[in-house]
Amino acid sequence: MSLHPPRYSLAPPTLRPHASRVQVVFWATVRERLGAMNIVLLAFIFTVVLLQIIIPFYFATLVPGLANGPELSFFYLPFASQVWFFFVVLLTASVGAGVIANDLATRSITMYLARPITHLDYLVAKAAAVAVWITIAVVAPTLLGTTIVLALGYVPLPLALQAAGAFLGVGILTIVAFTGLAVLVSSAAPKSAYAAAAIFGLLAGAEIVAFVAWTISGEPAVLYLSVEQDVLATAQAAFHVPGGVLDPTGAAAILIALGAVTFYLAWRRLATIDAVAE
Amino acid sequence: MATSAEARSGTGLPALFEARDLTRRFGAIDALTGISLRVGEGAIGLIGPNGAGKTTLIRILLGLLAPTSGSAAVFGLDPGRDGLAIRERVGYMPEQDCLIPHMTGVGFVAYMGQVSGLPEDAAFQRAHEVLQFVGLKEERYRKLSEFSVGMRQRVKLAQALVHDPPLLLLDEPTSGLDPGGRSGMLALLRLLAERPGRSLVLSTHLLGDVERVCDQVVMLSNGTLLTSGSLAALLGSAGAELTVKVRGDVDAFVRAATARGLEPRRGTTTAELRLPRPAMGEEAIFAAALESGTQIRYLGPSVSTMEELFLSLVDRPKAGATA
Repeated sequence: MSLHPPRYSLAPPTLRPHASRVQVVFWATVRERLGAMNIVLLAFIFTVVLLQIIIPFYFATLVPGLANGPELSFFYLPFASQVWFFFVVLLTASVGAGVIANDLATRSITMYLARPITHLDYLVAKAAAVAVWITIAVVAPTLLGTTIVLALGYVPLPLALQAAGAFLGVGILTIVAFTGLAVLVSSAAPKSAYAAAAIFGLLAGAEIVAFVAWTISGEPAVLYLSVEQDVLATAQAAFHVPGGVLDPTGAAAILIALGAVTFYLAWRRLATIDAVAE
Repeated sequence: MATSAEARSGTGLPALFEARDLTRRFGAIDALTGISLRVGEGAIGLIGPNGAGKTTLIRILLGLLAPTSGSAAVFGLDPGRDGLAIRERVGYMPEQDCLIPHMTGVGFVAYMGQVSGLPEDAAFQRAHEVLQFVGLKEERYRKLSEFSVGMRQRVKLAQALVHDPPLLLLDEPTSGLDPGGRSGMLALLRLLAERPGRSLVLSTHLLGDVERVCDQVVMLSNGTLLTSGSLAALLGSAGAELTVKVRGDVDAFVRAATARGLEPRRGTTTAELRLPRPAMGEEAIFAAALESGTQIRYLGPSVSTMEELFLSLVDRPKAGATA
């Protein structure tokens, strides 16, 4: 063992500002979530979304007069198929489950909170990292798909911009709701495996429960319980798809409220954690 | 009280941390009860049995827990209001295992340095240096999940040191270490304690660790302050009482000693007596023995170690308290 005190060869640096410490935690968490499973899920998501965006326009080009040419509603197909949604839920569970639960399980949260950051800083950094991953799954493939069909000349620029705006709007609502739910469950679960199951259950399971309840009761309002139905309702409105049973404004409000409330509850939950346990 | 503690420490230095009538309750449990103390720079042993309130005090000093009543200050700052500023200047080594298992040693220490505000290049350079200091130069690129208990303790010390804080808070740093590892850790702590302008608080229930590293102590028991101040002064004042072991007619010795103004009282055995150190010198004790025809088999301070001091204070909590 060396028995010499550290000889710092650099002059004592000025400590970086508070925000940069939060950024350090954020980027470390983004990298930490870069696992093989998440990469595979993203590959599936990109493949599914790109195909579902490009193929309808391709066939519309092959068959002149089909559906009166390219329309904004063509872009709704990824939502309608629900395959995309399923993979996004899987990715959210995979990315979000351990984001706080792992720190609680290993008690490494002590190392964060005993440093010059607050509980809220920690939560913001962790939530932002989850949001980045969900953004990659929700916004990036849709914008890429829109860019491709624009580049291939399948759609005019105004339509592409309108679609990109719609994807971005629905995507932000989805990111807010999914991220809030993920960090709350992760902060409350003793193990990341439990958190993953809970996130998947709350997002995908709620769809089944809401659908069964709607079938039995005939009351469409129960569909508001399903995050997926709320996303679909806002997407239908954004892409001018007729036939929605839910009010898109109400659905959007529910998604925003879900994100805000779950984030707040996660913050309250973290505030109860003893950073320095007995 | 504050003045008393400072006077007893004999430092006269600005307070590193202080508490005024600090109380913290958890429901019906009083974790800390009316703690008042003032501690100057140096190596401070925060000692007491499990449940004494050491960790609660640390949490309050770090600004992670609000006191129920009373106040505390670290570097003159209020932990409740200036917790971030305090934690910038404190390196905390927790007792429990709380490393990030998938990280390498150097990656983890540098990461913690960055979370403390160090720029990335400085954080990595210092991470290498402190890992070398704690004896993990060869293992720094291994994942923390592969580290032994001793190596984990050293990494925890390294992450507390990486941003070169003026104050180290070390919670049971020798916990779980074998004798060799413990000795090595204490040697490191001693070196750290000797750095000018740097202080450490060693929270432990192992009194021997404090004796090897610290020059000041804060003793807690059941959430109350037993005593605080300079270790040498405390042991010196405790040594004001002498233990005498007598061979022969003990009663005759007691009479002779009493006649000379001494105040002997019975100790733990029939041949053992305790008495205040005579103002006129220890010759009076030998004179009493000569007069009574007895032999002095042992003569020494009643308290010579931290353990004896602690036990004597626990037996007499009020008498030893500085409050």
